[in-house]
Parts: sequence; structure tokens; C-alpha cells
Amino acid sequence: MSAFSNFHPVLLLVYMTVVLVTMFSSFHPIIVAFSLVGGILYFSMLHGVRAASKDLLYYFFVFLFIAVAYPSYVHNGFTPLFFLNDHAVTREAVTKGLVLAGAIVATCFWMKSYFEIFTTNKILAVLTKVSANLGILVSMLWRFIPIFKTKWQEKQMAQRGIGYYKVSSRFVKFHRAFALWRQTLVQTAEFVFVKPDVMKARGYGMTKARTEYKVMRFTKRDGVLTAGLVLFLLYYIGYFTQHQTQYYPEISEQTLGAGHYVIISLLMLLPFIYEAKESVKWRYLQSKI
Amino acid sequence: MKKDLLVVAFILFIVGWLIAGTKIQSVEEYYLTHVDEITEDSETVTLEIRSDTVLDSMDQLKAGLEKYIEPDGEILAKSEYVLRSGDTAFDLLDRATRHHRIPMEYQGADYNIYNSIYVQGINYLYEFNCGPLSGWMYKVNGEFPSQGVSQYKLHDGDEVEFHYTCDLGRDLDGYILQTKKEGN
Amino acid sequence: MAILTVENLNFFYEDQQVLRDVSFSIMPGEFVMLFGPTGSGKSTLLKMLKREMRPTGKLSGNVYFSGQKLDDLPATMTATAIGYMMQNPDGQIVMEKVWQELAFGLENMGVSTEEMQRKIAEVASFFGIQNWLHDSVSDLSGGQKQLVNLAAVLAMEPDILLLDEPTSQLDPIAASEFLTLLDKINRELGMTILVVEHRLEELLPVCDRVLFMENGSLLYDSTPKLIGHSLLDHPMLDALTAAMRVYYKLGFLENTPITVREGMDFIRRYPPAVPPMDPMRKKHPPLITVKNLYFRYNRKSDDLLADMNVTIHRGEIFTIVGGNGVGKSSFLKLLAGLNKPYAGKILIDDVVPAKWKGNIVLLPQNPQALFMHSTVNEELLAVVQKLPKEQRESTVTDMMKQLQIEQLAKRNPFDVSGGEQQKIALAKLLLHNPSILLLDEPTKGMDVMSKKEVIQLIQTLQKRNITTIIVTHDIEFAAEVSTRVGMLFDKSLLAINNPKTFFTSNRFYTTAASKIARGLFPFAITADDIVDAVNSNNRRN
Repeated sequence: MSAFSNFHPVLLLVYMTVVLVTMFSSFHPIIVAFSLVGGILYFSMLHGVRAASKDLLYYFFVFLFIAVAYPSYVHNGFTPLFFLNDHAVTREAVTKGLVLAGAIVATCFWMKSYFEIFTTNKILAVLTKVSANLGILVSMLWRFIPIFKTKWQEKQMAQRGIGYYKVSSRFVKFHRAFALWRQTLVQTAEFVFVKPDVMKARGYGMTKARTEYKVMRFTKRDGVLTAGLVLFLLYYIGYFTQHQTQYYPEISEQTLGAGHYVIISLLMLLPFIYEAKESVKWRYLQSKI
Repeated sequence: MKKDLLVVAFILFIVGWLIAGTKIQSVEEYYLTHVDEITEDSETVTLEIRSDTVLDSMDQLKAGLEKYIEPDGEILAKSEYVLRSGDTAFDLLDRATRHHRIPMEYQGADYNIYNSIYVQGINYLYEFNCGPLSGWMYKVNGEFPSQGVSQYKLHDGDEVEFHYTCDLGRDLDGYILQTKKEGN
Repeated sequence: MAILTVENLNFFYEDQQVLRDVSFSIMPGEFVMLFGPTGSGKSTLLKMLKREMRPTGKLSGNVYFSGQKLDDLPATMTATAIGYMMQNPDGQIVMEKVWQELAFGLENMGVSTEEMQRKIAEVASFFGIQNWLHDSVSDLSGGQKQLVNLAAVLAMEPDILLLDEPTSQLDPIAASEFLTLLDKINRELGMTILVVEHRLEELLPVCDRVLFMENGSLLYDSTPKLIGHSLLDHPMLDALTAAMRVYYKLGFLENTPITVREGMDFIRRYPPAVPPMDPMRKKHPPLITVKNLYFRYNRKSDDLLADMNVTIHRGEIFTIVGGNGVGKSSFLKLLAGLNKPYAGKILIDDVVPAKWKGNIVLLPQNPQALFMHSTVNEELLAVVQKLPKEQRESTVTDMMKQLQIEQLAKRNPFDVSGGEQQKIALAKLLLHNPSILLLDEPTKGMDVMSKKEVIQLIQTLQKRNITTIIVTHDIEFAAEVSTRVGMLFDKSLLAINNPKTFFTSNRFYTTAASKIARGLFPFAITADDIVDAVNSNNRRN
């Protein structure tokens, strides 16, 4: 279990938003680089270097692909480097391609880490917080896919077991498969959603004051951190909408003060730093015993 | 497992792409374009490229582009070129912009439904850079042809103009509403 | 004062009378079992007691809860005070996560977070389910789902618990655990329980009262020791425990033994004897040969079946027993040609199953998977489309008569009880004119009478030289129906033998009758075997 994931899901969600929004609204090469490094470090921390290195290799190719593909389709820019099939490949497009590739790969790593720590439990808890009925609906929806899958497999097997598909015509075969599929869909939907009596049997809709069971507490620490992150986001969104890095026709690199770089790099590396700190603490405690 | 396959597919793609007739030219090579000398008996056409409309809509112009806008709206002054047989409006534009080293980007005819090359940007000024209705349009002898730029065959004495519009052409002289033309 | 009183309850669904003049009452703390043949109106009666679950129809008579009319009570009270649980574990699960499911009812009632946490903590600890609290419900087994359902109902602290065949979809071990838990709730918490069940072997020893229903009427309101007296000439006598059946069939009445141990104590009064053996059946020619069979689901998973060898003869009723997840169902699918062996061979008349000319049909574990239409009639008519038009109706009607499901013709196959679904599925299979019948848990959710019908049906098919291969958890059924039984354990079939030898050589995994007769009447595996042994012994002396 990751230490960072122990924070309240709302905080994790806000953090995720702040990291990605800051990265994309600035599109600044250095900020994107911070985010990429932060995302990869945290991912390696979660999965171990060995498992992460495999993903790193794969995403390196994704990176390469985007970085190559982008300038071969976008030819804008002041400084042509060479011409490819009569289209200019410009320094600006190459740079933007690299930054874009970095941003996309960084997003992938952040997302992968998040799906690891932001489990369905946490998502449902957050949704229930927004609206109890929304929580119930999404929770029911969530059941839909696994139930559909098992029902579909079960039905396929059962029907094959009585020779449902033993027909010569491909068209009829397809038609039968479709009929079965549609029927499974309707049945699953009924099964998952049409439960007015069992829900009523357990008191659904009888009192207006529906309460909610919380599995996670929103602590003071969560509150302070969330507030800090929101302030950070508001400030930098304002800043970067005015000073977004422009790539065409010439790169207008926004040079931020060193202080900004430090703050933003700290934000991007926060999960890694926190995780590293906790693991050092753990080892220290262990060695004392 | 899946990822390994993707990596292999990626490498195959790159190799295929390099083999499948990729032409790489240096900047000097590319701009080294031959423009025929005008002689007594050569057929000629004229070309002019302008972006006057932007001057009236500077507030809509994408940030950072201001310094690339010519104050008099003229990107290429009206000048005469030799007409080669079979030349389309696009061939002329391509030759002239190369000759004058004006960057021009276009989408090939295979990539859109009109079956014609589509001019995306000239001199760093791209479609949508001056509001959502902006882009490049062309005129021949004062009228907007209904064919695509690479379908329009030029004739002796034709006067070709490329104009940037910020409002689907309504801000240009001689523009007739598309709806009228189609007879609605 | 009675916690629940039912007075002259009548219920009509369309023009059909489902309940006839039912009256009874339950005292606080009582553990009451309701049983009766399929279609006797047990489930409907239970639904009448839970206001929110009542189906539409014409209802007369009264239900009182703690002295007050059920209809006059506020909705919030009936929702919490009367807990209700149904057959299908998935049927009443609403939410995705276990904790959500446990909290659902409490949230509806507006219980504060602190109190909710305490109640959920309590109930989860009592049931020992605290470790799955954050799991997805869909990852749980059927037995675990029923535990969650029960916990969710109990979290609302009901005064009475109504359960409608809660174990009919579970395997025997999970079912037995569930019923043990019910007993614990009754004894330790004093919870009043009314449960509809087919598994009397486990429930009769622990419940206080027994209600018996047939054709919508409550015929008998009795106790475990006395209910047999009323059923002496009724086919449902066979639903009682093995000890009771032996006792009554030998002509005794007073002081009924109920459990296996009581049965053993009673039977020791007789001298040992060997019951007459069935004459050895003549050997049939081999039909299915399984040679060095290996099977696994994925290339990297472990073998599910390994080096399995067996020969099944034409016209046999071959039964495979064994625990959960040992590959019984997979083996049936292999025989049906739905799974492919990893190594080794399955040959039917020297060809692989997919190429064999005869019809092989498989009854899946979940019979619902076979249904595609909205009435039973349509369901069966769809199979016989190849017959000439005028024969279709009569073929289907004959089949329904044979399985005694005519009354279900217009019902939706998804709405009938589990046992009835099994019969409809069986009808559908038989309309395919199979030469090999593969049955996966054919008796799941069936009452004793339906089981008897199925046994007869399979034996009739055997006379027509149809080979039946059955996979089941139902040991009593296996003992009665099979010509040979094998146990699937640790990737292979073991101890294949005729049922008498098979079950009497087992000490734990055997029928209740065999346990009772152990050491006294070798080769007695059913209550009837014991009775026969005693009677023939008496005649000899």
C-alpha cells in the first residue's frame, strides 16, 4: 500500500487535476519535463524499478513515435530544418513535438499511478459525496460490466452446448449471435437496474434524510493540503493563460523566476518525495527494533 | 506481451515509412526553384498575396503573430510569372512562394473530401489564427472560383490573388454569398 | 404475544388462486421452517408478509405484526422490522462494493454516520466478513454473496427474518455453512426466523416448528418430531431426513430420530444383514474414451485435469461428484466439445466430440443461460422449428407433460423458481433428441418430488440407450440415479465404481443413509436400502 494513497480521495483527485492542468496550461518545456520526471519516479516507487523499467521502454517508443510524427504533420514555424516530401520540418514543430510527447507520456504515467491508488472504492466514495443518488446509480452501473461479461460467457457456452450455432450460413450464425447479445444486454440491464422492490424492501426512498456511510475521513491535514492545491491551481491557471508558451511561428519561451520553478518542481515531485520519506522512516523504525 | 507487439509494430512502421519514397531535401535545395524568364512570346499570369483583413481584426489575432503581419497587408506584391502549360492556381502559388522564400503549408489533395489541395497557411498566418472563421481564399480575375485551388487551370493573362479572410470571405471585395450562387 | 399473525390469507394472481385461507402465527424467538412441493405457494406467502415485495393480485385476509395490521404500519417500520432475503444471491444486491451493500439500508433510513459505522462493524465482525468489506460484490462466491445479503438485512436490526430458499443456488458446503449461521443467529440473538427450504437434513434438527404447504393451503403446522405423522402417505415424506424415513418406513411413530446419530442409535436394535444386491447389469459397448486427458484454461495456468483416463459405456448414467472448482464442469464442456483438451484425447465412437454424428447436449450450471424467450411455451417451440407445423405444438405439450410443467407454459422462464427452471431447461434439451445428455447440477433448487421425476426421466432415457453424464454435489441424487460414480479430485477421476460400492467405501463423502447403516448393513446407501435390509432380515428369521 502506498503512503500517498492514504490521503483522502478528494485530495488525490485535486492533486491529479492540479498536476495535469498546470502542465497543459503552461506547455512549458521545463514544467513538462518536471511532470514527466515526477510521474515516472512515483510510478517506479509504486511498482518497483524492475516492473517500471519495462513500462519505461514501452513509453519511450510512444514518446519517440509522437515526437517523430508531430513535426512530419505540422510544418508551421520560422526555422525550417529540412524539407520532407516538399513540406518543411521546422525547429519549432520538432520542439513542440518533443514537449507534446513528454506531456502525453507524463499523463500516461500519472494516470497509471492514479488508477493504482484511486480505486473504485475511492471513486464511489467521492461520487456519493457529490450526490447519494448519483453514487447509487454509478455503483449499479459499475456492476453492469462484470455481470454482462459473465452472463455473456455463460450464455455463449450454454447455447453452443445445445448446438445454437450449428448452422451452415454465416449470416444466420451472425444473426443468432446478435440476437443472443441483445437479449443478454436487456437481461443484464433488467437484472442490474430494475430492483424497485428489493430496494424498497430495504427502505429506499422512504425517508428524505438519506445519510451516507463514509469509509474515509476528510482530515484537517487533507483540508489544508486541498486548499493549498486549489490556491496554487487558481494562481497558475491565471498566470499561464496569460503566459502560455507559444511555439509558432517562433518559440516564445516564458522564462519564469527561479522561485516558480522550485515551487512547481516540488509539486510535481511531491508523491515521490512523500513516498521516499515514508519508506526511509519505515526502514529507520525497523532497524531500531 | 501486447506491449512487445506494439513496439515491433512501431519499428516496422518507421522502417516502412522511410522506405516508402520519402524525399528529404535541405532548405537550400528546396528553395532553389527555377522561375522562367519572361520573354516576348511567353504566356504570363500575375500573383498577389495579401492579408489586409487582419489589420481590421487585430484584436482577434492569435498572440505572438503581430510581428509577422505586414503593416500594408502585402505579403507578395503583384508580379508577373510565366505560365507553364497545365499550371493550376496552386502550382503558381507554390512556385512563387518558394522563389520568394515565403513559408507556405498545405494539405494534400488526398487528405480532404474536395479532392483538391487546401492552403492552410502562408507566411506563418494559418487558418483560424484570426478568429474561428478565418483562413485563406483565392480570386482569379476578381472572382472567387468554385473549384479547388489545385483544380483551377490558369490561362494566359489570368490575375490570381490570395487573400486572408477573418470572416469566411464576407470581409473581402467581390465576395458573393455562397447561398446566392447555389441558387437558393 | 405473537410477533406475526396471519389470518385467512387468500391471494389470487389473475384467475389462479395461489393462497387458500392461510392462517398461522409465530412467537418471538421461534425458528420456523416452511416447506412443501414446488409451486405450493411458499414463496408467495413469504412475499405477502413483506409488504414491499407483494406481487400484484387480489389479496384478502389480514397480516398482523406485533398485534398491529401490517398495512397500517408506517413504511419506515416495515422496511426495517421485517428482514427479507431471496433465492438468487445476485437478485437483491444493489451496490458494487460490500461496504456499500451493508450500508445501503441504513443510509436509506437516515442513520447517522457514527451509528452506521458501529452497526456495520458489529454485523461484519459477527459474520466474519470484515476482510472483504472493500471488495467488489461480483468477486465473491455465491455463498459469500448470501452472507453479505444476510448481513445487510441484519444490519437494519429486524425483529423477524424471512428467507426464501436462501441456499438453493449454493453448493452443499456453502449451504450448510449458511444454515449453521441461521441457527447461530436464532440461538445467540434470539432472532425470529421463518425460512422456506428444501434442505431438511440440516434444518430439521435445529428448527422449532415446521409448516407444510401444498396447493396454496397451509396443511400442517407441526414440529420436526411430529411432522412425519402427517406425511406418512405423502410423497413429500421422502423430503425428511434419512433417519426419519427409515424410522417411519419401518412402521414406527413415537420418538422420531432426526439426525444421523439418532438414526444410528435407533437402527442398532437390528442385527447386521446384507441387503439384496441389484443383479449385475450387462456390459454395454464403450462409447466415450478419455485417454491421458490434460486441460487448463490458460497456457500459463495450472492443469485443471491431468492424465485423466475413463471409459463411459453406451446407455450409462455416469455421475461425477467432487468439491468446488475441481474441474467437473470443465470436464462436461470437454465432452461437449466446448473446451479443447490441452493434451490427450476424448473420442466418441473413435471421433472427437465436435465431429460425432449424434446430438450431444449440455445442461449448464445456470439453466437461465439457455432461455431466450419470454414464455416457456415459446422457449420450447423455438427448438422444434424443423418439425412440420402441426406437430410442433403437440411435441412441446407432450414434453411439458412428461416433466410436469404444463402449468408453467405461459409463465416467463426467468420468473419461475430455480427447480422449475431446471425442468424447463431439461425439456428444452430433450427436444433436441440427444444421444448424449450432459447435466451440470441438474437438481439444484429442486424439491424431493421433482428430483424423483428427474431420476425417473433419466432412467427412461437410459432404456432408449441414451447416455447420461451427470456432475453433481447432490450425493443422495447420485446414489439413486447412477450406474457408476466417480470422484473428481486432484485433477483426475478416482474410485470409479457402482454407487453402492462407491458410497459405502466412503466414510465422510457419502449419503446420510449410508452413514446410518455403516457397519450394520453394508451396501445400503438409501433409506429404502436400509428398510429392505431390515425387512428381508425379518423374513429370513
